[in-house]
Amino acid sequence: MTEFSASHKGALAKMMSLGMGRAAASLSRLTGDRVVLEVPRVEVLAIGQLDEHLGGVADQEVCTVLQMFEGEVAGDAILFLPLPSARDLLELLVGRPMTLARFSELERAALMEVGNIVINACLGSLSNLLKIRFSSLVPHAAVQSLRPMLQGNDDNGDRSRICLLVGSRFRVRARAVDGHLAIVVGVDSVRALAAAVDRLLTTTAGRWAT
Amino acid sequence: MRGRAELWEQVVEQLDAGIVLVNRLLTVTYRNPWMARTPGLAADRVEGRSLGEAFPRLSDDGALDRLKSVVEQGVPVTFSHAFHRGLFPLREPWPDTDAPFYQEVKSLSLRKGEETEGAVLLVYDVTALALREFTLTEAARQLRLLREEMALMRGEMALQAPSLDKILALLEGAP
Repeated sequence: MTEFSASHKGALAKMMSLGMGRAAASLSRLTGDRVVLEVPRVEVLAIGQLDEHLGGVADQEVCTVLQMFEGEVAGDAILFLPLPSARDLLELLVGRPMTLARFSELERAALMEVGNIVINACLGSLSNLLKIRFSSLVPHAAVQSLRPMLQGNDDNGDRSRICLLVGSRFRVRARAVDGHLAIVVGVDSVRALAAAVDRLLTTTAGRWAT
Repeated sequence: MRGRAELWEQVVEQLDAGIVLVNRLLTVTYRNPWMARTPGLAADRVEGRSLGEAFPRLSDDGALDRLKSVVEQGVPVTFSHAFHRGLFPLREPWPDTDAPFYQEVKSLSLRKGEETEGAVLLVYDVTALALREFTLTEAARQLRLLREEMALMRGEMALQAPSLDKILALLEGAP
C-alpha cells in the first residue's frame, strides 16, 4: 500500500477542514441558522483498518449519502450518520420534528442535499488545491449497512483500497450531531492522490503539512 | 444520427418532468414544454436569458451559486423541497387552488470530451408525495397525542375507579 506520511496526512486534513468550512457556509445560507462543521479528526486508513476505527458502525444500518467520482483520482465519497444522528440533523436543519419512525422519501431527499453539499465542498477543496479534476455522479441516499459500500464492487473486497475518514461534527443551535465522511479510493487513485499531495507540498514548501 | 437526435427530442418534449438546459454562462438555451407551466414565461422569453433572471427564486438560499459549481467544477447538485420552497414558480395548467407546487431539482454538467458545455436541470413534481407526507406526519402527531391522553386517562382510572377484577366480581354477585 502507498504510505502516506505525516505531511501528507496533515495536508489532507487541512484540505478537508477547508472543505467542511465551505460546506458549513453553504448550509448556513440554506437554513438561515449558523451551522458550524468541525473536523475532530482525519485519518488515512487501509480499508481493513476501518472496523477498529468505526467500532461496529460498519455493520449497523446507517444513513448514507453516496457520490461516486471519476477522473485521475476515482472512488466513492460517502457521508454517513447513525440513524438517531441523521434524524437529529434533519430536525435541526429542516426545523420541524421528525414524527415518522422511518425516513420518508422526502426526508431522504433532504439528507441527500445535505450530503451533496458536504461532499461537493470537500471534493472541490481537493480538486482546487491538488489540481486534479473529478467528475461526480448523481448522489444517492439510503438507509443501509455501510460494509458493502466500503468493500466496493469486488466480491472479496478490495483490500488495497484506502479510506480518507473525516470525522464531521455539525453544530446547530447549541446542539452537536456527529457523522463521518469517507472518501474511498482504489490503489491507482491512491498513487495519484499521494503524487498530487507531493506536488502541493513541494510548490508550497511544505506549508500545507503543518 | 440525425434520426436518433430527433427521437431524443421527442422523448424530452414529452417527458413528465421539467428540463432546462443552460450554457457555461448559465444562460438558458432550452426548456421543454413541461416547464411551460411557469406562468408568463413563454419559451422565447426564457431562452437567451440568464437563469437567475428567468427564475429569480434561484437566487435565494445560495441555489444559483451551487448551480454555478455544476458548470465550473462539473459536480452534480440536488435541491430538495424541504429546503427550497419552489425554485420554479410552476402551476398546474388549469389551477383550481393556490396550493404550492413542491419540486425536487437535480443538475448535472454536460460535457463534450473534457470540456464542460453547460448543464441540465431536471425538475420533478413531488407535490403529491409532499402532501401525502404532511398528512401522514399530522396523523402520526395526532396518534401520539391520543396515546399520551389515553395513558393519562388510564392513570386517572386506576386511581379513581375500581379495577376490572373488582367490577367483574361485583357483576358476578360476589361479596
